[in-house]
Amino acid sequence: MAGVIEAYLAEVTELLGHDPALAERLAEELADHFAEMLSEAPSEDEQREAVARMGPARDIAAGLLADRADSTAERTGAVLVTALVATFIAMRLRSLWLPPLDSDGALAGALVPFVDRWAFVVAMLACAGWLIGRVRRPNARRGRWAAVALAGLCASVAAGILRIWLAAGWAEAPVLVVAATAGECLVVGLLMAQALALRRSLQRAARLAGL
Amino acid sequence: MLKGHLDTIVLAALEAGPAHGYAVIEAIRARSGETFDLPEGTVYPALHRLEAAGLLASEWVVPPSGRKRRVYALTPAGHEALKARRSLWDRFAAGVSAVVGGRPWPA
Repeated sequence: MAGVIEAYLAEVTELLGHDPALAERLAEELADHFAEMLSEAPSEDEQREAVARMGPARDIAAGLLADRADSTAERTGAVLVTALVATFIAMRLRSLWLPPLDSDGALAGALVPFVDRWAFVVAMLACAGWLIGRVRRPNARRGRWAAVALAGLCASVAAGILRIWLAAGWAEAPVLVVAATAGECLVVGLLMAQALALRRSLQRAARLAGL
Repeated sequence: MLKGHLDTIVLAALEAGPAHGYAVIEAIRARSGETFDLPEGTVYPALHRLEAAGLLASEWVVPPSGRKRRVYALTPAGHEALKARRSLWDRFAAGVSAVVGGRPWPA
């Protein structure tokens, strides 16, 4: 199949170039579609008509990318809730099992527990904003809420690590507290990777929709 | 208006059995009496979306003609979703018909 249809398939492949497997799959499906629709050796006019009936290549690619962005947003939401639970557990264990920090004039003694707690609260509120937003407008993609929640969780994790170090030192801290904090770091790291994937996904979808 | 119901229409078109993209589009066109002559490219994102949601499953098959094609089929979850969407649609359509169907309003 040559000419107009080949150029159309090449355009689809190029637009989805960031995901070669998806690009190849769609191009093969569309090639089969055109082959089914047209005779063995279609004229250029027949090819043009077939392409017109298919619609602009960028609309198909934009539709696929918008759906991918929605799926990524769903996954990010699930990881965000998991990270909140992990952070809450680690934070509670630190409060229960670590000795209180000396606040004899040292700023860190007062500031670290404050950040540990309130950064978590900010993350929780951002997560609530995310969830409420998704219920009210399921198709909206709320990258900013995820970014705020991620920032809150990172601050809480950093404060938590500092709190262990200041209160007991790594060697003296209860194993459960260290393990919970390690788990918290792992899930927040996963959330960070997921948030970056969401950002890239949203940018690609927006770029294509704006073409 | 059609866009909001495209997923349901695609599920319904696959109820009769597995089919490839072109056959799905032809089934939609034929069953709607050619009312739904949508840009054919809109069906492919819908097929991918429904597959990602677990409502469709797909696989490459090579028919005797020798050309590889992707064939889609409803999953059990897809059958359930179609049943639920159909029931919702029946209520919605009955409601709209009652309001705009041209029957005189009760005094």
